Amino acid sequence: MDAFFAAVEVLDHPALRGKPVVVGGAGRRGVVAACTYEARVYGVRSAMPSFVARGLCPHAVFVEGRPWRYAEESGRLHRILEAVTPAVEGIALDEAFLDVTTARRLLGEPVEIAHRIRTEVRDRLGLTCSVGVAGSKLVAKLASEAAKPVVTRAGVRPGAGVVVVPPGTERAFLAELPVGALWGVGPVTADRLASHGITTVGALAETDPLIVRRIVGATHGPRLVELAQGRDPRPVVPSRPAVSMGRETTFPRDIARRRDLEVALASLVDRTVRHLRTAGVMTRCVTVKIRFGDFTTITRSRTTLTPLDTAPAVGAIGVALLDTVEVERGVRLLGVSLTGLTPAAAASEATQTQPTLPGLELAPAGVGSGQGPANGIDGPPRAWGPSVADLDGEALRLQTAWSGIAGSVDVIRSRFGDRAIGTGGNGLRAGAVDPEAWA
Amino acid sequence: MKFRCERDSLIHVVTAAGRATSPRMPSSVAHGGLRVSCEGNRLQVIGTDLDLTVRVTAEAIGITDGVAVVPSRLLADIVRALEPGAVTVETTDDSVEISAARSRFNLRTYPPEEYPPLAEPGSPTLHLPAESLFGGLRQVVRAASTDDARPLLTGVLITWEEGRLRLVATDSYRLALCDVSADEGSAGMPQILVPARALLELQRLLSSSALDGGEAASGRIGLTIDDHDITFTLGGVEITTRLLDGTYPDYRQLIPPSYPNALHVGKDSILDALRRVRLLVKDNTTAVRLSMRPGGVDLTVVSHEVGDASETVDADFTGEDLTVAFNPTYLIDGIDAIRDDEVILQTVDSTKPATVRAAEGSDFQYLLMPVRVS
Repeated sequence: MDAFFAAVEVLDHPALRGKPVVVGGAGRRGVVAACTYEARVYGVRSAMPSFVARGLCPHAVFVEGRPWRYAEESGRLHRILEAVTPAVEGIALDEAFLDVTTARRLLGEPVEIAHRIRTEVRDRLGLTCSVGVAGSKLVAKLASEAAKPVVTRAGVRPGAGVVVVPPGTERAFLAELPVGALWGVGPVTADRLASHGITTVGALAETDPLIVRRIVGATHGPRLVELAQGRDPRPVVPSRPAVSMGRETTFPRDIARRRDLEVALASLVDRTVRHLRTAGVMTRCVTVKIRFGDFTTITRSRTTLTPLDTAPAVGAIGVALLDTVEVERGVRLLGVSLTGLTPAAAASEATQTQPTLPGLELAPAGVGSGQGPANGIDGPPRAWGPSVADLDGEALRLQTAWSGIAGSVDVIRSRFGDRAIGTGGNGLRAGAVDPEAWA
Repeated sequence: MKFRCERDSLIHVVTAAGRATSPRMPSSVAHGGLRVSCEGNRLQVIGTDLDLTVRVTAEAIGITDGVAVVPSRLLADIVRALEPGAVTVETTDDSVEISAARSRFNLRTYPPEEYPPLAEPGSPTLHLPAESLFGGLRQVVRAASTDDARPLLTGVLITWEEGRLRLVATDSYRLALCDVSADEGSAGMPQILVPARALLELQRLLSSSALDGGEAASGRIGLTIDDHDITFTLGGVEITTRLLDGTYPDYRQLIPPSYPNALHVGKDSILDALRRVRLLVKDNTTAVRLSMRPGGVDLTVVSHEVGDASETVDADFTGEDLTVAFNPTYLIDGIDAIRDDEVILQTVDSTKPATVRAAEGSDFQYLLMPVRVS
């Protein structure tokens, strides 16, 4: 985000727009938490003691920080980012890394995603941000800084907004930056490097790693050269890796008809697996939650042998779970939640199936187990649905059949809307699509 | 009712009978209560969940005859916690008093008339050596299914062939088959399907009495088979279970007629190696690959999340070099069931059922389906 805290203050107090605003340091001894670009023209910077800032820019508006407000906007920002991909690593209230590898199929090239984020942040938060696009966290971060508004003595020039550093051009991009731009290079290290004539990242990149090692020590030396060469293998680590994804819905009035519940379930599953696919993960455990009219709530869950990420496969499990529950007394709330999430890449590599002994396969799900209840066994009524093995086989079959199509469905929906395409029984109807959208 | 008996014998009867109850879902008197009765010097405790019934009889010093239905879990907890020595149990109208040393407990009881009527089993029609049945159960019951949605496979098939009793269990992924010696009188007995759960209880009973060095280990088990249930009688314990009804899959056709490949390997060495490489298997969906070649077998587990492990075990192999993947737990179950120092793993190819058996004797076969690795 650009001058985040200060920008939020301007947002809340429109009279401040265009003025130098300094957040923090209203008291005698404070330090500057943030300042608008207008204040930066005068040399005001974050972390500067406030009396220095006052000296540089006496006519600036000094306001007390309101951390809760920034946290609020930060939450809204993260929701925007997480809609792009769940692989969001927040490093500050107003700063985050996104790994958009899996979002590309749905949202287009990274540069398009970057512009989309900027637009969303502007339209929905009324704030501006700068986006750096690159193949590594280090370069992306430096690129985002290069995209920021430019402060000169004459005033503020708008920044590029989005700066892309295509793979292979990292070294050229980094070459002119001071070594202090790199992570892990503080004033002390920078001084040591400077005493050996190394002041730019480019110079550092060309220095023999052994020499750098001698200057800054064995721990950081080798890594520093790698960073300077634009090599930063650290992955984006989602701050809160999603452990489950789910949706639930409360009906306007209790529903007792199984068919209606199945339709509702299909729609919930449909939306949840879409989230799953965007996140690039697959589920191995499907849970159905049912709250009855009297608020008693039950859950039924089933773990599958194979990871799933398509609506028909997850839906088959969900319906089988729903089948085991008596719904006649009326259902108030229906939910589905997917856990046991594994990265889709790992899941597809490890496709191992345990077939049954030949002759012990069961009839496909829906036909019944072919064995029926064991007569002579009294006790509570049970649902003689398909067995685990059956259901697993059916889910795997549906997963295999639909895995190729699901991505295309996502693309069509992102263009024409959620109701443009779906499987039967998802509550679609003809004419749901705006014909204009086809143009 | 009033009787007195040793704490240890009360523990035995109460825990044995209590295992048939399901105190966690006390939906009825039967699920949550034990029926305790005393007649002369004969103390009887019954627990049931209506599918499985356990009756235990023991000697006691009877003072007054009578009956009471006592909360199962609580009674067991109390009796186990008492000091060793004599315990006195006495009922009043709707409660029972349990006292030992200076402890005294007064528990509410269930009305005995609400306890479900249970038919007394007839006297045994057939006897089997306890030890051989125990051995057979230990080898076979593990392969039965625990998936209630496939009720037939939660049972163990018992058939009689040529004076031997055959036990068969499968969960559709593996199948265990074992022959144990039986009496001559068993010829012409019908084949029956016994819930594995009841047989687990029987096993537990047999192993605890084997530990005691009691009569059971060397004794004989009586079988009473009716149209709908079977009763196993051993010492003072009767385990009655309903039989499962239905047509069991024809297991004979599952066994390949011949195997071109055979791996002879030490039971302990392959078992230890499998248990080591299995440490990397977290979710029971990762297979262990066996690469078999003359002179040995290489075991490999590759988990994308955790890492990989491999181990080589010396073995004799005859046939074409071959790699087959198995669910490590299923394979370990089968090898562990073998009562011999050397086991044979027979294979056709990487997609057909394989068999684990002892190097000597053909009483036990364990058929398992390889995992398909794509």
